[in-house]
Amino acid sequence: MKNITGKIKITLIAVLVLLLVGFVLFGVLGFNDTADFSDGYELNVGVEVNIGDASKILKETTDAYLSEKNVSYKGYALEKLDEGGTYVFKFKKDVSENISLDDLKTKIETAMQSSDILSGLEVSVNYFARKNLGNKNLWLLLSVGIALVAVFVYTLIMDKLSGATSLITVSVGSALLFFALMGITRIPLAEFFFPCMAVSAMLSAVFACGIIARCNEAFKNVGNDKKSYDSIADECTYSSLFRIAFISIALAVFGIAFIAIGPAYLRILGLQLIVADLCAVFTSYSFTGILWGKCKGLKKSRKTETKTQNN
Amino acid sequence: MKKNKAIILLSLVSLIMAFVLAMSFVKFTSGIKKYNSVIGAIDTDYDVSGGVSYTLTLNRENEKEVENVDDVLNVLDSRLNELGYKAYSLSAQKEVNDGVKDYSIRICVEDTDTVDSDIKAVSAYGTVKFFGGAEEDPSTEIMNEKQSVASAKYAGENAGSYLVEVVFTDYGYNALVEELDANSTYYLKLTLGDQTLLSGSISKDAINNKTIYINTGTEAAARQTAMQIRTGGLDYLYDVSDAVKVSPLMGENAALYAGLAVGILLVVAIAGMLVVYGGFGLIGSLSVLAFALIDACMMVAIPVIKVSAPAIIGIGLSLILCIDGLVLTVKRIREESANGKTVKAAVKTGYKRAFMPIINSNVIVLITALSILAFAKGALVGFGWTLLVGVVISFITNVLLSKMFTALILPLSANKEKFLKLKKAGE
Repeated sequence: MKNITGKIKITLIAVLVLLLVGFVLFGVLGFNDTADFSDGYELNVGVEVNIGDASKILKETTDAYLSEKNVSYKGYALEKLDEGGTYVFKFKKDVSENISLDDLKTKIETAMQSSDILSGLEVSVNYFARKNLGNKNLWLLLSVGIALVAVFVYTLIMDKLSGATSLITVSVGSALLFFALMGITRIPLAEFFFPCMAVSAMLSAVFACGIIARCNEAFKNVGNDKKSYDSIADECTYSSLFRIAFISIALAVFGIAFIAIGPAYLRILGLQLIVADLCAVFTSYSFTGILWGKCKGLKKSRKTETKTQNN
Repeated sequence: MKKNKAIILLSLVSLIMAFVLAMSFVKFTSGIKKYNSVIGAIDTDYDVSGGVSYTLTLNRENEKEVENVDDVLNVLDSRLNELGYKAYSLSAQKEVNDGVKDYSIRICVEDTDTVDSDIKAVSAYGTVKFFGGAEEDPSTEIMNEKQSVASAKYAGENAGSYLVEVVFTDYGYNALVEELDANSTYYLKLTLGDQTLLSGSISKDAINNKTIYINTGTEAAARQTAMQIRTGGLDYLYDVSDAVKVSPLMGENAALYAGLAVGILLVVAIAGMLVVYGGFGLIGSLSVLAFALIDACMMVAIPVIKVSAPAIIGIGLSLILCIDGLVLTVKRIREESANGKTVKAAVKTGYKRAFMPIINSNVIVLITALSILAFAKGALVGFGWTLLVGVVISFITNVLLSKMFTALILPLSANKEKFLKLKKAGE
């Protein structure tokens, strides 16, 4: 873990392969949108008053019926509507030819007969084609893009070109890696995709800040020998390992908490946070120091060339 | 700082924090007054705490067919945004039956005091028309050849009335002035479909810089009127159903589970710091706890913040940023101590060395938060707000509060190096 610059080729190849596979999968399969954020179809199975085991019977009977017809759904939600309740089963493709609403209604009513309080309840079964409003998250992409430019200018002033270049590169790299991993893992997107991508970029920038500050401090204390850049980068990155690990574990715990206790969409959020976390850790740890070192080395060799030309 | 003074101050600070912590969770009734807890008072949006649903059904009297329901959805989206709704669900659905051509539109939003009138306003049908004449209820249409209104916006409160500022275009202004010059008494009426938005007498004095002001009774009515004058009505007539309560988009009890997840993060971070850093862990834990309490209070105190699912990500990230600053500081202090400095000198230099990286990371997140607030739409605005507030509080916690706790806690320990788990080089 200490010899980061030595393993940079393997790391870079691994990242490029992941990016390539991820982008190809996105290109071929598209976004894995959840049913609430893309067009599709839905089967609404409801009862006028949600009492006793009514919602349980609705769900179990519908599950059994759809299974019998070999129809699988993308997701479902129980909507509590005033006194009643409706299960909404969501589909990406039209399944109306595979199911009979009348049959399903009859089965549910038969199942409700098992209880005196449920037997008289009115059951509704409807099937809809659904269009959802397009994703507004593209605005977030624009705002993060503008923020990246502003951050580049800020770090250029504070940490000079080497610091600014490495910080922006790892931030953008982390965001792209997040995009690619989402394509590979096929985790549903929902409305968290771009916020989690922004989290990945911001977190890698935060980690990179600490590494760059150490590198700049260490650089002041050693000579301008090219070899020193690599060893400075390795040492400073390694000394940040504990801090990065601590914060990464904290964010992972946040994500795991959502997965463990949350309803469906919050579990998706948890998964995305963990992926964002991994991307931020990987890119900042692997590339910040070496990019800083390469920029410093490039600047030094240009200065040497200019001096030689002047002489 | 002397030990006795440190004990007194630390006890005071701890009491204040304990009080705020208790008020964060405790609800009580005193006489006829009900006091909500801080956590309970946090304003949450539809996607995490549920709301109401309206169904817009195409009226049979519509003269034309809906060509593209996506256009209708986009218009409704921009109007809901203008009225201040952030996390809502907008969809069109139609029964998959032979002969059913039309989509009905379903709007799920947060249940506010004005939601009924807001939904009616966004789904109103018709075009904005001006009528003018010498009679009180004029019926002659004026200013109908070109666009007559340049802008309309809510202009604040004045003497109990809520104003809508309407700015005319050159064409609209000239047409109106021409009418006013030709009539000593003139009445102006502004309608949208069957709805009258403005009706009353008008004189040339009332127009200043091509602008007139419409008085309305409530802020909600003013915002609705401004939105309708600016954007007009829908091209199709929809019947609006009554409101029906619906569960949150993110799932049942989403707000509770999200709060629990933040709580778990807090507890795990505090436990981790206590185990790893010893005395510094105590300082860090108190700092993180102070951050969480101040952040919760700010969520309530700042009226524009509505906690939606993206906003919860902002809360989590700012908490992580705060913990990061503390870990960075402790690391620097340990390094200074390992270099041979005394505890006091190591603490001072450690804070100094950690200052710039903390500033840099906080500024980076601050820039991102401001950019999100400037350009993002819908529920993502909540993400920007919680991130902005969180990063400011995180910075104050890392730079000021943690120093305060260090100054209060360090004098209490006899063996500071052991208490802070500091090692010298060679140990």
